[in-house]
Amino acid sequence: MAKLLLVAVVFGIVAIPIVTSRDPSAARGLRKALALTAAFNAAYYLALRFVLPRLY
Amino acid sequence: MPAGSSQTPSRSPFRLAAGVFLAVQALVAVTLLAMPSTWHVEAVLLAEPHLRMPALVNPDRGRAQGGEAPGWAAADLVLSRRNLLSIIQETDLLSRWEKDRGFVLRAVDRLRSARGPIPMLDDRRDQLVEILRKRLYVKALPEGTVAIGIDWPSARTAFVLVEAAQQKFLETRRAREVQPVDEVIAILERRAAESGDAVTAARAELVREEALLPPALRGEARRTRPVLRTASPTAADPLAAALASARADLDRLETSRAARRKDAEARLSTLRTVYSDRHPSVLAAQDAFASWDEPDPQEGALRRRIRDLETGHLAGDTSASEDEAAEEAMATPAEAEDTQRPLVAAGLRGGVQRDPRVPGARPRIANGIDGRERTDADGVLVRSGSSRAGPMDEVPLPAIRDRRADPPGLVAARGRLHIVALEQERILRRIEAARIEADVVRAAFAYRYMIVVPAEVPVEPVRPRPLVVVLGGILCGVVLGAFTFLATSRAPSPGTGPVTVSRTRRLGVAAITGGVAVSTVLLLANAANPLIAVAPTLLAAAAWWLVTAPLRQSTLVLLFSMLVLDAPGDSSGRWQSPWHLLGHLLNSNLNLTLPVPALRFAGVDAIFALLAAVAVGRRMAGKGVDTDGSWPAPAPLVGAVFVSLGAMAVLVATGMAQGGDLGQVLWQCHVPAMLLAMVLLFLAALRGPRDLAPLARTVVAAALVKACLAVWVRVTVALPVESLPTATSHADSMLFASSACLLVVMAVEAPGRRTFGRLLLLSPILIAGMVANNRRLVWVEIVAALVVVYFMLPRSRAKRTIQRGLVLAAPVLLLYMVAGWNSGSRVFAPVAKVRSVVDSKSDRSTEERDVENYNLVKNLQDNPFLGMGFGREYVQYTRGDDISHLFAQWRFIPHNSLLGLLAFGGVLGFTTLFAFLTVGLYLAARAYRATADPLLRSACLTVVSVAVVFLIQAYGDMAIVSWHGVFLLAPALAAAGKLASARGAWRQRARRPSDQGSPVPSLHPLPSSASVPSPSTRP
Repeated sequence: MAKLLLVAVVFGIVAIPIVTSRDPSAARGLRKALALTAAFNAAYYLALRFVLPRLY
Repeated sequence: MPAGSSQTPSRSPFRLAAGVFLAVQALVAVTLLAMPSTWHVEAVLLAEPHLRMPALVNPDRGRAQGGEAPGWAAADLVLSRRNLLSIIQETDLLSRWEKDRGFVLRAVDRLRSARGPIPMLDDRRDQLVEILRKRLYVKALPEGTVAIGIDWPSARTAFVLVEAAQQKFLETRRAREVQPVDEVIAILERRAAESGDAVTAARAELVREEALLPPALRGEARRTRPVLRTASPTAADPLAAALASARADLDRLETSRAARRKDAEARLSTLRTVYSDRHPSVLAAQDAFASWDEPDPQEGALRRRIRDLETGHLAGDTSASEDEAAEEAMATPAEAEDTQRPLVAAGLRGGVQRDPRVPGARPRIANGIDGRERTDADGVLVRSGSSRAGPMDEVPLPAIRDRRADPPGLVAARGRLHIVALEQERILRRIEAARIEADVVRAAFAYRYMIVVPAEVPVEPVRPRPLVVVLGGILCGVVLGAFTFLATSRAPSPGTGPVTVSRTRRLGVAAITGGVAVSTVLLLANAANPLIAVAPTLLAAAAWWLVTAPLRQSTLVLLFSMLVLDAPGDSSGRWQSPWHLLGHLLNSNLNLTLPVPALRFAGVDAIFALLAAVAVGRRMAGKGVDTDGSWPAPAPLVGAVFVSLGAMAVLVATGMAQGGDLGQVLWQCHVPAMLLAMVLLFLAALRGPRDLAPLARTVVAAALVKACLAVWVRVTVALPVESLPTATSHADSMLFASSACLLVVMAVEAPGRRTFGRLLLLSPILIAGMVANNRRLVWVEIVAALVVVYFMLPRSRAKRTIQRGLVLAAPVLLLYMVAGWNSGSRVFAPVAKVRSVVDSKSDRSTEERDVENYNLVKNLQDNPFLGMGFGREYVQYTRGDDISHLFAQWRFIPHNSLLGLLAFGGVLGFTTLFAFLTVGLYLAARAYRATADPLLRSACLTVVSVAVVFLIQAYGDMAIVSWHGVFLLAPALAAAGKLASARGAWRQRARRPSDQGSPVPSLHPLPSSASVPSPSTRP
């Protein structure tokens, strides 16, 4: 599980732009992609901080 | 017509070409006349360690370990400033140098001296020292020879200099080998003098003590005085000799134990820097070190023996009868040997005893502790049978007189005299041995160096070789004449009337022709290898092509070269391709290959700068070579690239503000910055969908070449996997995986005989390459990329079929995994691969990656927002293996590039650094949904696959600093941008004025591929 959590950063970088590209508006979709990527990275950090130690 | 240039009627191209040819021949003639000749002289000495003579002289001496090799530091010794100054003085080089310089250089010197102050003598001498350092060489070759040679403008002076350097080398070596022994002799002689003083003082003290005796006893006391009268301490006092021997043994033992304890401590210290304190190796080393603090039984036994001998010695002094001792002391060694054969029970207490049962029995020193008494053949009582009895137990001892009647002061004085006399004798012996050693070293030196090839005055110069220069000049003239003819006979834009050539073009042709002619002729005249003279022509041709060819061609050639040519360290350094020199020039700093220290940048940097200058120049000049028919680059992608570059600059500043190392910053940021810059270059180079087919072909061709190379290396280089872990390189995993995904995606999106045939034909070659390259990460990359592609595919019957198949196969796959998890069978090899990726305990490498990941996460927790910045190494909270001997920057460039960037950049830095990738992926996914053309859709999916492959490689193996990552991801993202523009997935707000005349004016989403330039159209 710890490995899955660590490698999740790869899927976050890839999946978010692909998912947000479905937005009808190109500009809005791009803004979403960037905002969600930033949010994902923050959540990823929190997971590394609080969840990862429990998984070791 | 380019701004700033004018077109004028030119002379006949043929005349120009002929003029160039003649000019080159004239240059050759002038060079041959003016160029001073260079003469080469070399002498070779055979240098070998001569161990036989010392061994014959002193067979007991052990063979010297770790001594200097005869050729050791030969260059440093000969080329030292002091040595060179001595050579300059002895050969009168200052006056010779003036005569030896060619007339051109002498004329230059005269001009200089006329215009400025005449250099002082010391300055000229310093200049000559530097010249000698450059031209004189000393090479210690592995076969044991030392070559001393020089290239000099005079044959006679070259000979004299080599002779002098050779003589200096021999003198220096002789001094190094003989002087230390002489120094030792001098030290010993000083110690001997001191020891002599001590003997005199002890003797005086003894005389004083004797003076205190009653007159009747003085004569006897004097008779019993120990006299140094034999060369052997054993004969003088065997007990003392045994004591000295035991003490020497103890000294040796203590020295040895101290040295081994120090070794153990050093090893423990080394291991502690590498491993944590709980590591088994550290614990074992700790135990080993602690064991040296425990008492050594052998040392204890020796100490007991010395104590016993000391006691026995004193007892012997006081128990033996005065008469016998005096008799023994005054006797000669031979008499002592013949008349007295007592025994010493070494290491035993009790002292000298006489067997009362045998009349006239001689005294013995025997065991006084627990020994059993016995009487030997001479009727001597001996106590033996001690647990410490051994070969030393019975040593002949001269009879010792009972001196118990002597006053204590006299006994002590006698003992002191005895000790200092022994010490003096020991030193005298060592002096004698050292003198013999010095004689042997002097004698052996004559055989240690043999002149194999003596220096001789050369009969012909090595440079220039007139025939080579003349023939090379003719060839160069022909090539440059042809180039001039072609370059001036083709006008940039065809016109009517006489052929016109722009002034800029004429100047360019003249500059290239002149530069190539001069450099070629100079190289022909001066270079050791005349083939080097081809280099300027080849370089000029390459530069000419890079400047004139469309960027879409030059960038693809650069891409192919970077993917195919091997970098330094590829194939674990066990194999090099025939074109490795080109690869080294491109991949590593040029000064590592070329003798120009200022070239501290890689060839790819220089080519990028040239291509970027070409792109900017063409835009500024309004040339449409690259922009005609080109789709504009999406603004978000360009903006994201600049945002990422800005984030990198901020992180560099953050790191430097906290004491970062600028040199390490270059290691960390050079390739990532080039990745971003290459995205911009490929955006400028690729016009749109029609350039994607050549791009795909280039990448697949490079992958096939590298796959074949990997197989070739694995088959021909007969080394086990441990010695040759990768057949080509780690980064080739990205190339293989990207190409494999491209072939699969093409077959899925555009099913047909052609795409399936390509997949079936080429994928086995790629798989063979992947197997030969032996990287497990490549399989992870392919699987991950295809999983992402699968989820991007629209719902279809095929997808439903695959889903059903996966659901049905899941239990079987699960069983297979469970069954093979701990199996070593080949049947379960795929399971072993999976386990090696996910199970930390599967191997050492995976375990170390886990340690690194843990440390990086802890570093991120220290600086979660903006990270620690570039230029600083991450902190090791848990100590992993130190791999600095393999990769010095291992704590600046971790294997896990993603977690590394998180640690260095924090959440904010990481997000902005990867903004370009987010935007590129977004545009690729959006273009995928905006088009129905199967080839364009497969291009979009390939872009996503390449991004996934890059990220997996970055997660596992430092893709962020890999040139393969740059030349796969940058064109992929540029292609995504062009596809998004072409398919209307991203609308541009305004067109550039230069694109107004573009043949692709439509900016709206295209419903089908009908009006889109076909990817298969050749550029």
